Order: sequence, then C-alpha cells, then structure tokens
Amino acid sequence: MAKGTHRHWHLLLLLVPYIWAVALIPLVNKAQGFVFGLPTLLLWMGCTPICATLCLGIVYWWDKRSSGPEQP
Amino acid sequence: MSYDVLIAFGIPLCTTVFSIWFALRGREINFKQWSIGDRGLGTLLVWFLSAGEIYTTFAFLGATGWAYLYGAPGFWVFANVALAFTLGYWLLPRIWVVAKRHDIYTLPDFFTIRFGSKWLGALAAIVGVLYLIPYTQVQFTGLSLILQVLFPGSISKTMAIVVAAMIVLAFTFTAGLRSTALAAAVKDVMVLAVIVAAIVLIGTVPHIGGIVGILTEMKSRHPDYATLPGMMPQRGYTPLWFMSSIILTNISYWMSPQLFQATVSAQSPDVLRRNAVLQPLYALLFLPIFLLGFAALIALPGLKVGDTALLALVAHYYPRWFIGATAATGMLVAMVASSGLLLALATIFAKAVYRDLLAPKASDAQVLRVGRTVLIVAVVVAALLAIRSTSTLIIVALIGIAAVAQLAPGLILSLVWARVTKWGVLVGTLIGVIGTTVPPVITLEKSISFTIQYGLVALAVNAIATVLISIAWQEHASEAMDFVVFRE
Repeated sequence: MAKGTHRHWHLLLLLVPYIWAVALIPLVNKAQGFVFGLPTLLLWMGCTPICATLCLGIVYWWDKRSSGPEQP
Repeated sequence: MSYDVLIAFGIPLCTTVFSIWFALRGREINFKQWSIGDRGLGTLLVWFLSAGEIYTTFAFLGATGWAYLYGAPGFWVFANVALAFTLGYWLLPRIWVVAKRHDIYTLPDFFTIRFGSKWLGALAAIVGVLYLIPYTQVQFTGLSLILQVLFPGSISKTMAIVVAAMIVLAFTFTAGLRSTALAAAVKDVMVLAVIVAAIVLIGTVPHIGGIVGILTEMKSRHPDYATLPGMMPQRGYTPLWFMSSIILTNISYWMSPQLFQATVSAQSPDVLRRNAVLQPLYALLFLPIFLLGFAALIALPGLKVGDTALLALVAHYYPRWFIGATAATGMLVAMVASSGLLLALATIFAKAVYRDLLAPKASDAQVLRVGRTVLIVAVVVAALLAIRSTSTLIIVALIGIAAVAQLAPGLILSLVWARVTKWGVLVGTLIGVIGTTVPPVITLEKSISFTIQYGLVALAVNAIATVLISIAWQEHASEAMDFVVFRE
C-alpha cells in the first residue's frame, strides 16, 4: 500500500495548469508590460497549452515508469 | 464557376470520397463499427477526431470574433483545451474502462447503467439532443457565413447549406465515425497550412506592417485591449468572469456527447492518456488566430458581426487561390464537426433510446437502420434551422453548453463516490437546467454573483443538491461500486 500512496503524489502536478490559467489570472492581469513584443496576458495564456503538455507529459512518464514492470 | 470556388468545393468533395473509401476498405459496417469505430481507434485517429470535434467553426470564427470585439476576454480559449485534457487525463481512462465493461456507447447509456434508471438515461438523452441540434445548426450557419463572406453574391446561403448537408450525410451515413476521423486528418493539415500561410502573407497586407505592426498599432489605438476587462468594459468581462468561465467550461467539458463518443471509440486507456498529453498543443494555433483578429480590427474596423473578422480580412487582402483554400478549410471544419455531432445524436437515439429503452431485442441491423434514419432526419432539421435562423454563433453554443454542463456533477461524482443516487442526480440536473434556461432565475443568479458566470452558480447549486439528496435518500444501485473502483 505504501507504494500505492507514493504513486499518487505526482498527480498533484495536474493542479499546476489550473494554478497557471485560473488562480494566477488576477495577478497576471495587473502586469501592463510586454514580453517579446507580446502583451503579458496574451503570452501567459498562450503558454497555457505548453504548461499543460509539460505537466501531463511528466505525469504520463511517471505513470509508465511505475506501472511498467507490472505489465506483461 | 471560377477556380477559387472550384477549390472551395473540390477539396471537401475529394476528402469525402477518400475518407469513405478508406473507412470502408476491408471492413464490414455493423452498428458498433459505425457509431464508435468498434472501439478500435489508435492514438493518431483519436487525436484527429478529438481535434475535429473541438476546433469547430465556432472555435475559429468565435475566437477571432472575440479578439476583434473584446480583446483580452477571448484569451480564455487557450485554457479551454489545455485544462480539459488535464482533467481528461484522469477522467477519460475511467470513463473508457466502465464503458467497455458495460457496453456503453453514449452519455445517456452511462446514466442508465450506473444508476439502474431508464428515466435518468432518457433525461440525459433529451438534454443531449437539445445540445446537439443547435450545435449542428451553428456549424451549418458558420459554413454559409464563410462562403457568403468569401464569395459575396456568387453563392446563396441555402445552396451552401444544402451542399454541405448532403456531403455530411454522405460520409456519416455510409461509414460513420471512422470516416469522420479520417476526414478530420485532412482538415487538420488544411487548417495548419492555411493559418501558417495567412500569418506569412500578413506581411503583404498594406498599412499593417506585419506582426510587429499589428502589435504596435493595437497598443496605440486600443491601449486596454490586452488586459481584462478588455475593449468593452461595460460587458463585465472581469478577471472573476474569466476565471469562472474557464472553470465552468472545464467541469462541463467532457459532457459533450460527441466528445464522450470519441472517448469510448479509443483503443485503450493509454491512447486516451497519450492524446491528453499532446492535444493541448493544438491550442497554440489560437495565437496566430488572435493576431489575425487584431489585424482585422486595424485594417477593417467597424464590422457588424465580429465572427466574420477573419473571413473579411482574407476576402479583402488575400489572393484568390488563398480565398478558395480558406473556404475549403472552413467547409471541412464545419463538415467534420457536424458529422461528429450528428453521429452522436444518431447513436443516442439508436442505442440509448431505441435499443436500451424501446426495443431491447432489436437486431444489430435494425439498430443501425434506426441510427441512419435518425441521421437523415437530424441533418434535415439542422439544415432547415440554419437556413431560417440568423443568430450569432457564440450565443447559441454557449446556451447549449450551459444545459449539457448540468450533467457534469452526476457523471464526475458517480466515478468517485459510490453513494450518489439517481434521485440526487435527477434533482440536481433539473435545478441546474432551470438555473441556466429560465430568464428570471438567470437574472437572480447574475444579481448575486458579481461578474461570475451565472452557469457556474447553477452548477454549484446542482452539485450541492446532488450530494445532499444522495445522502438524505440512500438507495442501492447494483453497479455503483464498479464505477468507482478503477481497474484497467
């Protein structure tokens, strides 16, 4: 069972995209500046897909690694 | 007929022939193959099918429309798909596993079997149809809008819709879901090519000065465009609205019947996980889409319908071959999306209503025949609605999303909590539907919610009611535990 609980912690990574695209919005919206010529909020929201794919990719890799040997 | 119109109709027609031929090759079409591809779609086809269902005409035209009219409030679309698959990574394999074990094809089946209640399934079927018909109509309306703006005066609205409806009918009627997925692959290549070309060609549009020019012009003409509440502050698109819209869409996302169907058509849970990892990247396409929306605002301010911004830009400034290619892509987008919607509707009727409720002993051939008949009726209804109505794309779709959203607490809870009951779901869903469709209730919700999406208020009340009634009125459903324990 210890292994089972251990395996679930990485799922917390799934919260990162929510923090990125929801919780941090009031803060990011206050930034008036420009990054690489793009308005901050546009660039921030535009990076949400990359953030999600990175987090999901790590979780997937982790899942595969921990369930790998059990599979036939 | 000039050559740009020829391109516009030629590419969708060739795609139709190719995808039907390829889907039928070496396969016998039974009901399961027709409706959910015999649960055999691999990573690539699931990716294309999901992208086909998600990036509809409404997504592309709506996003440029929002960029054009409001600016920053439209940015929430980036989060839409990214967060949908973040939730989906956890949710979709769970749905897939119980769907396979219990022979579930559609969302209403899911409710019928989990709660052992045919009436609950019937209710889910009605809500599903209420969502699917206007959504299909929106696709047809979008398609006629595309052709009218790109070829002004040369193609009538009725003709555009009739041709599209016939093509859609051709490839859903014969081969079903698999041909839709194949056509979606062609569509995605076209979409990518057209958007990349549009961005490259924007340098040639006079008085804009390329991407740098767009951003500098926007900053000087509309200094507030890139922060919330955007260019129309009176609309109340505050950060609170923005966040609640994203959460509302996220919770309700997987309730769309066509996406449920794409989920159960996958080969394995692992296919769904891999798709969840990669699918968010598709949303990066919205970055050039927004830039094109801003370019339209600079070059062509004062358009009456925001949703036509992208098309008007193309029609005014781009070469004729490109107008033809854009029209072809727009047609493919609308056709793939409406195929998925119509197929979902036909499957709900044939499987969840006809076979599970009305005629349990019906043969496979009979069920398939019912599915195909419903398909014809639904195409005709959606096309007629599109020919007669002139409503703006985004409003109709948002109302549909709001109604289907109310099934979310029932479905998600039933995968984590064995004690949720049919009465809880029934009452919760009814409260939610009232909260999103009855105008006085909506006014009340708006008055107490500041600028939070009223749909989220209704959803919260729905969820609370579902939980409370489930606790108060315990009832044993035989399959409850099986839906909660996740075994692959």
